[in-house]
Formats: sequence, structure tokens, C-alpha cells
Amino acid sequence: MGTIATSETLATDLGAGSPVADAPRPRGQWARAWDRFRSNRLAFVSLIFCGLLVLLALAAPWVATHHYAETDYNARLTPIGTPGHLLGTDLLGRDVASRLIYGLRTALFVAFGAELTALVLALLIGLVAGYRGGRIEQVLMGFTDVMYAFPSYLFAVVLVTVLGRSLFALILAIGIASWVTQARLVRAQVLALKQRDYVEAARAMGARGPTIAVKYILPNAIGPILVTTSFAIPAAIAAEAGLALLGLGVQPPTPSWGAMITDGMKYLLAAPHMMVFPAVLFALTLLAFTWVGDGLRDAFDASGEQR
Amino acid sequence: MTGPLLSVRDLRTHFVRGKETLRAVQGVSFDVEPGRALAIVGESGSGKTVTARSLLRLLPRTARIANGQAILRVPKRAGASGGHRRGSGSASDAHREVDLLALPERELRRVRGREVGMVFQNAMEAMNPTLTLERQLTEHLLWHGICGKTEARERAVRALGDVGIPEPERRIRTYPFQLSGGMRQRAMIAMAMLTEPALLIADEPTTAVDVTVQRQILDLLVEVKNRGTGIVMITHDLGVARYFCDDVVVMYAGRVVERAPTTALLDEPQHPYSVGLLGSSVELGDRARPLLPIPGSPPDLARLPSGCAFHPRCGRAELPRCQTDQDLVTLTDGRETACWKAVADA
Repeated sequence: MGTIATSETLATDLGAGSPVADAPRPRGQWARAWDRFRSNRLAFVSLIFCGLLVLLALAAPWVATHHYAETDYNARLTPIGTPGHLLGTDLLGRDVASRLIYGLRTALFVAFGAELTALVLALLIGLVAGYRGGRIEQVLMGFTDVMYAFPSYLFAVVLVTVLGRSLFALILAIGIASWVTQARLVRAQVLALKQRDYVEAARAMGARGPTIAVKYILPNAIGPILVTTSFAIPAAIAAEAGLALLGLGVQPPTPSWGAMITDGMKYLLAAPHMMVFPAVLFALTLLAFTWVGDGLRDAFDASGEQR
Repeated sequence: MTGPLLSVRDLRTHFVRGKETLRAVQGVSFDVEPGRALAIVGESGSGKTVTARSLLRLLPRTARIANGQAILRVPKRAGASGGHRRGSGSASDAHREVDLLALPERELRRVRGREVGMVFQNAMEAMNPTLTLERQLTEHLLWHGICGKTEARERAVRALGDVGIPEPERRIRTYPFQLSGGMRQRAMIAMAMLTEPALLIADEPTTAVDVTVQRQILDLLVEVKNRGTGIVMITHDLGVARYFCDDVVVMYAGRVVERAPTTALLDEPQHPYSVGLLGSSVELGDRARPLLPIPGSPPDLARLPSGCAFHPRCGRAELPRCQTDQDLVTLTDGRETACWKAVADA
């Protein structure tokens, strides 16, 4: 999107002498990133899809025709299109469509919760380490490196085993597995931005350290951080499914796509709908979130070029 | 005049690089009077920028101010902790003296941006791209508790108008990258002057702008000076120094080699390095006179030659006399030079 950048600079370079009517509309980094994001059709469609998924997850109790734990022993393993069970039922006669929707809820809740946890941890540790430097940085980044060396899946397994199979444990397990790379990224960003003249200018004007970190460094680092977070969300959804596959997901009967796929595999020939729908929806969700991430990366990359 | 606004004595700033100590600034002294401008000139690596940054202690972590004083006369403010009222400070006794190099960090922060403004070389780089001009310009007024948000905004609009930015009401809502280079530089000067600092440090303010804009920026700084602000101007451009600086300090390899009123220096440079600087200046030279670049390059600070650091490049050098240290010597008309031959000639 180099064209936008050049036309903008051109317009402003002429601004000094040209009529004031040329004064450009104030557009912040968010507005410009949004413009670029919107022009990427795949990303935009994916974003809409993701938005619908979130709405669906939020509205699950009203959208789902059945409760996820409601069993009907007279209608077990019914095929697609059965009246009252649009996508059929599973081994216990539970409505597959409803369980998909509630499963989406689990997936998104865990993924967003985990990434929010990871983001907060990463920002806190990366910002303090990068900005303060010295001994504090050594301690914080040493800790981060130790965590980095630890196999994250193993860590998640241990944590879920210790804390029990609750949503909270899953969020913590996945969040802790993913904050490390993000903290390193935040620190790298901060280190680079700390050298910028405007940071020194702020100090020259009497800004306090925390003010500089929060108002001058963080907003300029947020693009790349947001991009990695957006890529971490599909990874977290996959991690949750993976843990469910290992039998370490949420406690049944709370539905999880991973568990639904595992169960479905056993009846693949008799009742393929049990596995196909969760698998397809899982794949689509991962793709959509990844494409949104791609779009965000491009949107923020271009803003980097402009400086 | 009750004394200089800023008085720097024997400033020494070192960089520690592993086991090496780089003496970037070695015993620099100068005074700045209110309403006058002092130029610090020299090649890159001469220590002029480090000198300026040392004054506000805006130095990288590896730097250490090893020695010196920088006494700044600041007006006494009502409420020392920075209340909302501004001290009038008209009487001469309404001033106090602070040593910028010894001030605790907390107090130094109150001096930065309030008593001492700073203008950077590249306004594009020196403004936060995520803040609108309004936020950019008013933040430090709020930090220092000079006024409230609405008043800060009014002041900023007025200041932008004063530096010749058209339609300031509207411009103030834009982002720095939406301004042209010249406008950005003017906006930065407006920003630095919003707190009415007594001293302005300008670090090569015209180097990064177009030649056509340079003049505007300099004229703006002349106005600032005429309002009574003392200015320290870091530059490698003697033309800039001639245009509006009253005094010039020439630095070489971390030392002051010559100090003189601008006209005296330009007419009759005493130190061979000053002569060389003038001879290699395009703007100041006669058309008929060929440009004379100084042979060689500035020395490595880690391996400085003994005595006068310039002697390996100096056409007039006489060994071994030039290999022994030579302090600044005051000549008859109040100028100073660190060349013994120049002293002998005078």
C-alpha cells in the first residue's frame, strides 16, 4: 500500500504553501490500519466470519435448540436432517448442532481468555524489562528464557492435571504456554523504540518514565503485538482441541470440539456427521482467524513503512 | 545583567565501552547570556552534541558525566513542587541557581521542558507518530502543571499561529506526519517555547530541512532570541552560526579549541582548526577562493594523539611543542584559543 503513503506525504509537502483547504483530515494509526485492512477482501470476509462466530458463541443459549447435555435415548446416532435434530445426534442422543455451538463457546472462551492472559503478562514483563533494562531486565528475561525452554504442552498437561479440568485451568495452561514468545517480542519492540528520537524528546520535555513507556513506546509497539496475538488465537483454539484429544479438555458433558472429534472418530462409518461437522467448523474457524491475522499484519506493516 | 543564564564549567562526559573509556567531552566551559545565542560548532564526533545532551543529562546508559558544573539561573516558581500558578519572577532576586549536573532526577525532570527547552534535528523523528499535534504540544504543559487542558490547547493553537502555521485550529488536530518538514520543525519550536523556557537548546535544527526552509527556521529562532531566551545552538554549519549566533565555541575531539564573538571568529580565526573549518565552508567562501578541505579525519576518541588533538592534521604543527597539552588562553579582546602558535602570534 505504498501508494497511499506517498500520496499522503506529497499532499502534506505541498501543504506549506498551498491553500489551507488542503489540510489533511486527521487520521490516526488505527484509522489508517483499518483502511488498509478493509481493502484486503479475504481478511475482511474472515473478520466478518469471526464476528459471526463470536456472536453465535455469545448467543448460544438462545440459538441452540437443545441444551448441550440434554440426552434423548430414543434418538441416538440419528442422521442429518432428522426432525428436531438438524445435524443429527450423537451416541447419547445429544443434538450435534447445539453441541457445536456450545463447543464454539468453549473454544472461543478458552482462546480469548488464554490470549488475554498471555497479552497482559507479555506486556507487563516485556515493557518493564525492555524499558528499565539492567538487572531487572536480566531477571525478567532470564525467567522468560527458562519458561521458553520448558515444553509448553507438557506444562499445560501438568497444570490441567494439578488444577483439574476446568475452563480456568485451560485458560491458564494455554495462556502460560503462549506468553513467552510474546513477551520477547514486546521487549524487542520496546528496545527498538526506546532509541527513537521522540522518546528522547519526551524525556527532554520532562516526561516521567512510566509516561514514556505507556504513551510513547506502547502505542507504537501495539501493531506487531496485536498481530502476534491474533495469530495466537487460532493456535490457542487448536491447543484446546489438542488437550481435549488427550482427554485433558473441559470436563464432559461441557462440549469441546476436540472431544467431539475424538468421540466421532469411533463411529466414523456408522455416523460420520458426528466427526465431520466439528472437524469442518474447527478448520474454518482456524483459517478465518489466521486470515484476520494476516490482514492485520499487512495493515500494520504498511504503517511501519510510512515513518 | 546579574550574571549568565547558564554557566558551564569543566564539563567532562565519558563513555564506558568495555574496559575502554572514551572521553567524549573533556573540560568544556562556556556561558550563555539571556537573549543571546551561543553556537557550538565542530565536525561529527567533536563532542558538541554530547555536550548539549549532558546539560539535561539525556545521555545513553553507557555515558557518565565525570566532572563539571552547569549552573542555570531559573526563576523561582510559586509552589516549588509545580503548582498551577506561575511565578512572576521579575526581580533579579526571584531567581535561584541550580546545578543541572548535580540535580536529583526528580528535580531535573521539572527543569527539562520547563526551564530548558530542546529542539531536535529531525522533527519527524522527534514527534510521536501516534499523537496528534494537540496532544504532542500540550502534554508537557500538563506534566509540569502549568495550566489545565483547555488553556493548554488555546496556548498551543496560539503558539502554532505564532510560528506561522496556517489554520492552527485545524492543524492541531492532525498528526505529525501530515505536516511538511518545515512545518514540523516550526511546530517543534512552538512546542519547546510553550513553557517559556529561559534557555533553548537547539541541536542542528536546520540540518534536516530544505535550504528554503532553513531561513524561516532561523528567523523564527531569532525571534525567540529577541524575546530574551538564551540559545545554545549545536551546528556544523558556520553559515548558521554567522546568521544568528552572538558567540561561537569551536570544539575538536571533545575540547574547546577556540571561543570568540561570531564576527571576530569569522573574520580572524585564531586556531588552525577554526581556519580549516572556515576554509572548507561552502557558504562562507568567496567564489574566487578554492575550497580547502581539512586533510585527514577526526581522531578516534579511544586513541587521541597527545597534546593538541588536531596536530596530526594541522599544517602549522611544530613537534614536539604541539604534543604537550595546551589550555585555552585568553587573548586581548576577550577571545580564547587553545593554540600556542596563535597565542604567540597575537
